Amino acid sequence: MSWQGKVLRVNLTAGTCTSEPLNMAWAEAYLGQRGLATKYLLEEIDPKVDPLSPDNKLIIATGPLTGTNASTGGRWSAVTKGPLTGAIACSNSGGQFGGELKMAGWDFIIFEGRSEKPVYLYLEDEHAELLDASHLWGGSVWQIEPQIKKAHEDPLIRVASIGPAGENMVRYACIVNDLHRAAGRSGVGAVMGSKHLKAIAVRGTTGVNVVDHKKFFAAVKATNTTLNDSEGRMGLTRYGTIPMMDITSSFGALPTRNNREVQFEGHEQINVTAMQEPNERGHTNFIANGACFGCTIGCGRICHIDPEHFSVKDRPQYQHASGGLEYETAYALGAAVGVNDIDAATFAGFMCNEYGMDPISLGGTIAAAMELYDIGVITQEHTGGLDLAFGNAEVLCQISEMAGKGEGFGVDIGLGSKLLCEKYGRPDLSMAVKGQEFAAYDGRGMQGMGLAYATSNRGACHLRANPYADDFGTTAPEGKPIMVKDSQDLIAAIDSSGLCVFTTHAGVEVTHYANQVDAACGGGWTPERFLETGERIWNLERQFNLAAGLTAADDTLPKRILEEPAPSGAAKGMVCQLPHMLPKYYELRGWTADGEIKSETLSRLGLG
Amino acid sequence: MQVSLKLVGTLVDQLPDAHPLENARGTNVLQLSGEQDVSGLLRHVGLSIDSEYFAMINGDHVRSDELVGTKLNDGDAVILVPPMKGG
Repeated sequence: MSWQGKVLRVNLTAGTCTSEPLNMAWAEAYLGQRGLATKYLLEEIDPKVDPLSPDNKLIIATGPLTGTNASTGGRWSAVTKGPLTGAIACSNSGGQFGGELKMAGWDFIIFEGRSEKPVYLYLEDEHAELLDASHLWGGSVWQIEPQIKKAHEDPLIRVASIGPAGENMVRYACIVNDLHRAAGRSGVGAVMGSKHLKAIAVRGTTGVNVVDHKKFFAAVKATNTTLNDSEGRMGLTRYGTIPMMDITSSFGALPTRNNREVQFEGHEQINVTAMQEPNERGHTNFIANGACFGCTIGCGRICHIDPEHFSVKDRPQYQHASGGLEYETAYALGAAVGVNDIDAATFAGFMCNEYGMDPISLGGTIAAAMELYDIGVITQEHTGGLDLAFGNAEVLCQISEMAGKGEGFGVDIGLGSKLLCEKYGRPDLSMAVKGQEFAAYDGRGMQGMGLAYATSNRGACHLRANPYADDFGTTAPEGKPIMVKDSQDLIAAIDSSGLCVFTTHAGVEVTHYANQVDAACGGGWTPERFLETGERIWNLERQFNLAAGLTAADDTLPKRILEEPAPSGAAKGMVCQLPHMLPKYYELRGWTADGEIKSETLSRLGLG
Repeated sequence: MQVSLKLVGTLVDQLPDAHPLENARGTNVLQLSGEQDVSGLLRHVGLSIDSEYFAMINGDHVRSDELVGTKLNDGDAVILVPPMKGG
């Protein structure tokens, strides 16, 4: 079977590493990665725990298809209680790290407690040990990853680490692996920092088995053929995700200047053309696409900043090729802050990778600070003289670096928009759900996305539901609840399998996922069971959140989205119809009107 | 009749070798003869009328199933995008 059947438990307080068998009864019910790690977390911690205390645990989790040759089978997740939201945090990443961890023979690593001094975990197949990281503490991701490889004299070691943002417990610090892939959202890097765990370095040589080789290869081949022929796959390969910029801006769903507007007049300076065509000096931002472990899509963008651009002009260390803008990053470090400079946004994105921050939350927080500055609540006395005006590309670059390093007003930016706006007395200006900043879609123009944000278990997120096609088809709220609910369930299962959710954008359907899992894990994984597993996982996450103290009152959106009509675009004059959609959504979920899970629903899903 | 057209993403790659756009990745001004709807514009540039498109005309959204029969007027600005999901 493609589960390795092994969990590494690392007690950072005691400094011990012990191996234990994976709970296979739970694996049959929750599959792996997101679902199974949430089950472990709910069983092992009090959901009311302080996320940054030693009592919280951090689970690094692979899925059964991680490390196999299924296309996109390189995904891994960090699951913990999130410091940004106080809710379940599950942050998913690609790169090479997940496949390497699985190849080393482990499904999960569970970190518990807190080390007295900084450490990193070194794994070489069975061998696991905690090593001193005092000399690495304070270093950036880009500094320490090569240092670790050099120290072990092995360039093929894969590293997941935190930068200074994680050490400083920035609420949206991420865990970066392979230099520019990240478990980005919800502050999982801050939890790692709170445990004084600087990095996880892994080298795996054992391989990953599957139950039925012939059937598995047939299922993988069928999926790969579908991917290969898909128009969505072709678009992702050639252009990445950034073509969405033209769509949302044209449609009127591009959150602009902290959602004051929904169309950005500068979108053509941060779109796919700006990325892939030469600028006035003949420099092209885009170099090539890149792919994660086993991926046949290759949506990643490898880019470099014009060496004449102000952000890198005298800084040759930032003139190299690295992970470039995705649509979300281009939105958050572009339209959200009113900046129409693709190289400035790329630089701010580099800061996120180097110092370990989620670019969506960073951009959302800077956008909130810019609005507070615009209305005079924040002044240059607060910012240390920085002119925090919307559209100021120089200040975007400066404040991003300051947030990463924990310097000056960057410390306030590190709070996240919710705490920042509360600090300055305007909590209504935080464009967030459950404390997590919006992704690149406005919930007025895209009603389904508004519902998806409000109901996402980890706070506002574009990766928890899939209402895109219908949202661009109609702004009417009818029909959105079932679409959001069903896609949440499908994605929860995909996120638990080891595969990438972007396959849903490229023609892959539930039968493809189920057939691959079925062949890899042993029989019985029908499409129906796959979807029901997703529904079980969604409800398990809800159980965690309810036990943590969240209620239906947290399934909401900022006042701006519920009360201020969209100023332009397809939904001009409309607010998000959340009050119309939410009761139907709860009903479809089998929840009470108060958002509690009904006992019959728990019973049906085996959660009671 | 004169209209402007902008193609987004993979639509540029779906153009035939011989197409009338001077700047396929930018905004193009086109002369169309007679009364035309969006399907006529698609035929003019060589794109399939059987595919799904997301379209905006002068900033207003036009549903996929309304592209045939939506009349174009002199000076219209048309943006066409292939079906896309998020990221």
